[in-house]
Amino acid sequence: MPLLDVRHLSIAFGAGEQPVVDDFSLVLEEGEVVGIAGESGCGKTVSMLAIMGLIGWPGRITAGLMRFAGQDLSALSPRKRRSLLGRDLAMVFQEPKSSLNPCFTIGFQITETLAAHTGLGRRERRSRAVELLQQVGIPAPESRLRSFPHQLSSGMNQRVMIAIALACRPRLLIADEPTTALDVTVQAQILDLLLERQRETGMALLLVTHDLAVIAGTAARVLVMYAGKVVEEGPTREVFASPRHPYTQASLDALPERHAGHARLAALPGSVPGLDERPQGCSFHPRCRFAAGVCRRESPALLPAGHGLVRCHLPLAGDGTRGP
Amino acid sequence: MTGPPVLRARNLARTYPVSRGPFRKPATLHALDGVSFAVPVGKTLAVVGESGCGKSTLGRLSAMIETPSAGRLEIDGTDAATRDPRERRRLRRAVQMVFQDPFASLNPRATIGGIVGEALAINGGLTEAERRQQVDEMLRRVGLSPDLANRYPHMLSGGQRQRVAIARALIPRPKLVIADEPTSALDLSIRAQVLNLLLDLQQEFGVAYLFISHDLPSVRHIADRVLVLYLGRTAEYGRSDAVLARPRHPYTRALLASAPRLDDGPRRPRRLLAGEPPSPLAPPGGCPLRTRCPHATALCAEVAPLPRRIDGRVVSCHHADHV
Repeated sequence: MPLLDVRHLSIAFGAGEQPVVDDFSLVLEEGEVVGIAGESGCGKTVSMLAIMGLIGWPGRITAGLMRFAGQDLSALSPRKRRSLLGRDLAMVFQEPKSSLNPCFTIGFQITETLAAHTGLGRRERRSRAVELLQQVGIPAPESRLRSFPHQLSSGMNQRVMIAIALACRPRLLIADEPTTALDVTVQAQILDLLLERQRETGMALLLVTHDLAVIAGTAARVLVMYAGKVVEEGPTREVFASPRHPYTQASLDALPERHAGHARLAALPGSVPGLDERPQGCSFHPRCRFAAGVCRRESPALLPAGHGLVRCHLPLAGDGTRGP
Repeated sequence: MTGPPVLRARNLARTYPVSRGPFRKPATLHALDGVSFAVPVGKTLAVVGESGCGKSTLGRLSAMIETPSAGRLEIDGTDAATRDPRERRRLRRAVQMVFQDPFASLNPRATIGGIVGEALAINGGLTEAERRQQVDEMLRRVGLSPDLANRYPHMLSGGQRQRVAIARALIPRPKLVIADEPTSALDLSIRAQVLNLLLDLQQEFGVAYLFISHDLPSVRHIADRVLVLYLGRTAEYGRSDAVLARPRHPYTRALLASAPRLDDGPRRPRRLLAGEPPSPLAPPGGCPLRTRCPHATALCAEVAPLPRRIDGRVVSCHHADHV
């Protein structure tokens, strides 16, 4: 039984509105590391919030299936669902400074999670908090417990966020752009830390980022999203080496590291359509150099291609050319 | 290459007083300390480093928003500290800026045409029709339709806004454009468009760039020279192909190795630099990197390394010969 099984998730804000996320499916096994890539506004964060149950009014979620460890998430009572959050299902956000409460010490914020979900006594909670800070590489953890978030750097605050998320040994950790706000040397440290904790605890990790290179080094499987839909899914190595969806290929080609010297980058023309300007048919067709008549008329389904799935009427053959 | 470099710094330094409360003397923050470099006509110098390393201070000094505390800064062959008002005005026109966040750097109450044409209106000497024509022409050059001139910034996407910011910077025909993280607020596909545009415009107008960035793949793509700063001091400075292909300073190496790459296999932990940058208010004595550097020795704690020439670039490291 997979740890997380989401089928045909759709999220809209307001009745009768265009869905922000449409037909999102994700099956995640215990201990798996999966990356979710896409530009801003593609729906990656909203889908994660929906899994966490953090979409409030006027958001409307419809899903064929939403199961976590065998429990139907959409049928759980709010109380049951809350007891799941922070215990089996934890999330780390992009901005550590705005996710931590500035009025409380980090020691309080870590032990708060432990108090809510475990039967540990005060002294045990404290020693577990010290242990957690040690695990996430914070020097002098005993004295750091009394620090407030503003007294720590953003890299340290992100380590604290990870410590809170790991406090109850979750089975699934969702990390939403965990390193985007950080400097590059600190980013490398945080990614190493997340992977090290993942290997040690055997939890599953969902890594959401716009940075394809981050996913290349961390996730075994990747989902690429565009305009609210998953357009390609597959083993990271295969997807990056021989993308099947023209959007994936164009995104990879636009990276400066793929170009030598001062050559022009193969930039993708235009920009991501806004929610109210998503076109008929395939949402990528106005920017796609392979678009044909069928792409303008019909919205493609997510179908097997190569080693994964692709949402394209005319998927690439895997060597950069268009298929048969 | 013709004429003097558009920007030349010699031992440039900038300090800021930092208040430590009402009854204590303010501390001194060395934002920049003894930095030297030159930007030749029509070339690009990239300034890289982590937050707090002095990148943006360098940009602000070059744009004459602030004045150096010590050292000399020459813009287009003239000392930027000149008192002659006419010269100062000429230098200010020669240097323009493009900022990081195009959502914050455009006046929401001004039309696109007004924003781009403002510099022309201030410098005078043109009729309204001539101005209008130049604005339309510049909008076309940066890949926007002249019809946008009557719109307001909120009607534009992030990529379009950054194009407007670039048009505004180029319309007074500057010799140098300071681009402070111009692509880091943009999405992947838009980032490539803006980098292409910057390269095209450099070809067309012969403008030089001071490209401030932490995105090493972009730097590798656009820069002719690279200046690596650490806690306000030069770590390494030289031609970008040399510095980025064969870094000699441990900090440059760590920066390059930390940046995730597409062709990475499964990630191996690479602890190249321990910890985080120390507070610039209390930098370690000796070499500023020594608390994080794997090659640090007793010498590094005692003596701050001076910049020296090795292998075609400038490096400030005692051990640059053999790391």
